Amino acid sequence: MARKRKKQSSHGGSKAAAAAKQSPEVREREALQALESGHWRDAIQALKALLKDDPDSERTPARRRALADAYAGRARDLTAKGMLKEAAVIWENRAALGADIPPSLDHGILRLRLGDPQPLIVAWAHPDALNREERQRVGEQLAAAVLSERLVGGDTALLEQLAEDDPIRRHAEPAQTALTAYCNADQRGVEAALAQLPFRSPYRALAILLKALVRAETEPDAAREMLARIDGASAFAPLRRAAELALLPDAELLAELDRAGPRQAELVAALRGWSKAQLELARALASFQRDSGRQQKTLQPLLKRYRDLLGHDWAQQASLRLMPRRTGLLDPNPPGWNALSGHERALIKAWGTEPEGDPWDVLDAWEMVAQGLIAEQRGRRDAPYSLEIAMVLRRGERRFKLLETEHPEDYPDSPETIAAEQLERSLQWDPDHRETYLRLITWYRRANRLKDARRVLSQAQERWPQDMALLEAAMETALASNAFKKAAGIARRMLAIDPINSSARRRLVEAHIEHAAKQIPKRRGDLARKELAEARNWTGRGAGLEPVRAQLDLLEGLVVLALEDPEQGKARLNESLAQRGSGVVAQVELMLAVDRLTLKQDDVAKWLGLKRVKVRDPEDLRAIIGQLRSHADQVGHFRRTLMERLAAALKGAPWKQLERNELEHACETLRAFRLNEARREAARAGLKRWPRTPMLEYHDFDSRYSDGGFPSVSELDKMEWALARAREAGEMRAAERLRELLQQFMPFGRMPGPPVRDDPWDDPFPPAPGGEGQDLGEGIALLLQVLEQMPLKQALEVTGMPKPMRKEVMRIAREQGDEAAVEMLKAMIYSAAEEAGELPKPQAGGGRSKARSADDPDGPPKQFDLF
Amino acid sequence: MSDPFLTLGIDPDADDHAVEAAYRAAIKRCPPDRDPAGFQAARAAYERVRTERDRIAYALFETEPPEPLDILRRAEAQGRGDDEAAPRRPDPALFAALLRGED
Repeated sequence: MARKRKKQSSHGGSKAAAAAKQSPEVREREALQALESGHWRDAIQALKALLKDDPDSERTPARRRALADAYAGRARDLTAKGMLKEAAVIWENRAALGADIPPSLDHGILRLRLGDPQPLIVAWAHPDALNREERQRVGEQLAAAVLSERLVGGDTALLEQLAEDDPIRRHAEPAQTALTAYCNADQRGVEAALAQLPFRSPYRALAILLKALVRAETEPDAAREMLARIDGASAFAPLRRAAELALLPDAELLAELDRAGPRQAELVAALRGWSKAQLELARALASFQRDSGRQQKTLQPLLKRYRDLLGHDWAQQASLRLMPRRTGLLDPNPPGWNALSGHERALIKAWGTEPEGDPWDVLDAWEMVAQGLIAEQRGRRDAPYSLEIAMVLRRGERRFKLLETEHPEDYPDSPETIAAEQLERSLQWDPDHRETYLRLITWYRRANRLKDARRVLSQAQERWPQDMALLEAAMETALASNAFKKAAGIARRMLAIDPINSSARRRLVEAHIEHAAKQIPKRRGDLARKELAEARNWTGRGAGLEPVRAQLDLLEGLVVLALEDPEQGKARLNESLAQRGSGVVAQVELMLAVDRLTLKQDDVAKWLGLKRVKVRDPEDLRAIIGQLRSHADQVGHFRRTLMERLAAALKGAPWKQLERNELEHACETLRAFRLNEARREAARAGLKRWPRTPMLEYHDFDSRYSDGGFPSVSELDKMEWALARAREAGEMRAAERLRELLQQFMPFGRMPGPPVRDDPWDDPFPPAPGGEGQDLGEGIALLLQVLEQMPLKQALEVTGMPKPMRKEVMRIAREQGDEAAVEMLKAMIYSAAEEAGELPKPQAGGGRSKARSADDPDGPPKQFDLF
Repeated sequence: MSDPFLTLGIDPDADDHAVEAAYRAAIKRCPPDRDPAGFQAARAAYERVRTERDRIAYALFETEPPEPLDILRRAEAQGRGDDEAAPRRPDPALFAALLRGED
């Protein structure tokens, strides 16, 4: 410290010495600049030195006044910091500058605070020496001091120094009475005492404050407005600040309380009706909130310390949410708390399992909670208890939305089967949950467990016979069972309830068309036409079904052409095509109709004498994309021959004339039809005009490898850059798809890495020597080592294996044991390595794997496909 | 996310009627034009505990630990006893201390 001081002193000395070499005018200018900037200490030092070095200057009086201003500024700063004695010394220095320096009111106020009222009493006694504002200020200061003295112990020393007719003296009694009456909640007393204080009384700010405080209990907004009328420099301002703090909303109060002094905080607590313990807790919470780095677990001791205040049960429940959620770390008898019940332990475990656990773990964890609750309820079935059990049994399914899958896995131990079983049991405890019935019915139907679907449906319809969602589920179930008459009956019921329900009509029409297609292989034209006629009946005048009605013309013509009367069919179809302009758009519509009836595209084209067409007009292209989208949405399946015809028609289509959003939409549609060549053309046409558009980049990459093949290292790099760009641009849908695409090619992250490396001349960004690009054999050896040495679950996570694969391996491990699962994985790795021409090496650091097969140096890279 | 029961000023075992009444009182206290944040908070709290199922789900599945504000409100709610209507008044000595410049 001594060294530091010496250093500072030496530094200050050299500064002073340097300043002394400057002219007095320059030094004065710099000092005044420091004064203007509020650098009081620099200004004081410079001006003092100047007065000493240049005492005879004609500028001396002005410099002394400037020094007085600097002292005043410094003293006010010290006062604001609560350094009252230090401030007083500075004020004394100022006063000692000479008689030409006028005394400062702030100096007098500070002396009053330090116990010497004389300067202010003298000033108050000479009203002519003060302007109106100064007089008001002095009056308030003396009034506040008088009131404070009287409140504490009835001391009247200060009061007696004032003249008998002085308003401060005359109004002291009613002011004190009003304040005491307020503290005693004597409303009438307050009003009566305040009525004795005239408008210009030195206690006027107190009167406003007391009225505001009374009003705050019923009208806080009005009270805030009243408090704002008390000047910030008033002697009563500290009371105003505390009252304003007490009126803040909870969140703001918590933020401000940390900055409030202890007395202010006490007044806040009193005004809000807090006990001492509450104030302690509030200040601890304010301090916790200020330090945002503090972990939530540090709230635990606060909950424990103040649990009497918070209520034991509430504090215990809150603390459960702060306890470690890993079973190994959870103390069943946490010190200071009640021992955890079995239910609480199971609940904490389930909470801990949810964020990271796989569906099996989560379903298991909630099953444990449910079993605990069932055991605790001991057969009680009243609402809250049974609802709790039902909701817990539904939690796992709800968390993962397991039964929403389009492709159910209903093998005995699949998460979906377990979830379905839990949902079935939940209905025993809460049979009024319609959503659960619907989920079960949909899943059973998709899993082709139609008997179960009908059973649950029947239970649900007993409760809600007219419910539209259940009727729709019943219709879907009937259609899935090929019970068309039943489905039609249900549809009629639905339309009787809701005549404009177009979705019921549409679904029934689609079902009849599907049924018509089933008659084609049996060569039952009559039945097919009957189904199509049924479909036409159902289209009726339904809004939005015009395209279906138009398509039925084509479908009926096709049935006649293929199964009954070729000439008549041909005439009908040619007429339909002519109505559509006979162009490429009409032909694509015909292709879609042919596909729906599972007829052969080539045969129909030959019968009708249609030649292969190509899309060359952008308007046609837009119309065709629209047709395809609608077909994909309504039908959802199509045959290879349709794909081939469409691919041929779209080859060389005018993609570059479409706008960016049209291209993105087109790519989505083409993806649904697996028309990857056309999708690539569309994406690249877009990327030429709008380079680095994340979604188009995704379609470009995805379309290249959707039909097989493996990207090179540089391609993978480009995908990663595209992913980074998508994330940066906030295009999260494109980013997610790119991430999934990358994961598909690199299920283990970059380990063991693709087996091939492009010709470096083709790679615009070749890897640094010895940088990325792991040796294949080395990578496999590492992978094997991880599998052998780490627990299976952890090993799978370390390898970066995709979650669905990990689940599958863990399922096998559960069924057959960890060792069997590890052996299976090792066998797969060896097999893939052998296929790639590279056996694992026991030690890292081997040579590079061969880029391409020796037989075919220019051939495509080998795919390293472990799974 | 703050504890919805404390935001609405009700007990965790409140019934639908009590929740509804507390929500109506809260939006009357915090109308959207004058206190949009307070209104939003009340609305969000109401949505979370509106029905019995919501309240059970909150008790079973809410894993967020309490916020400092929740603890403050809980202490206030607990501190309010039967004498809630009684005026809260400080000691005159506290006024005297603040007038003397102690803060």
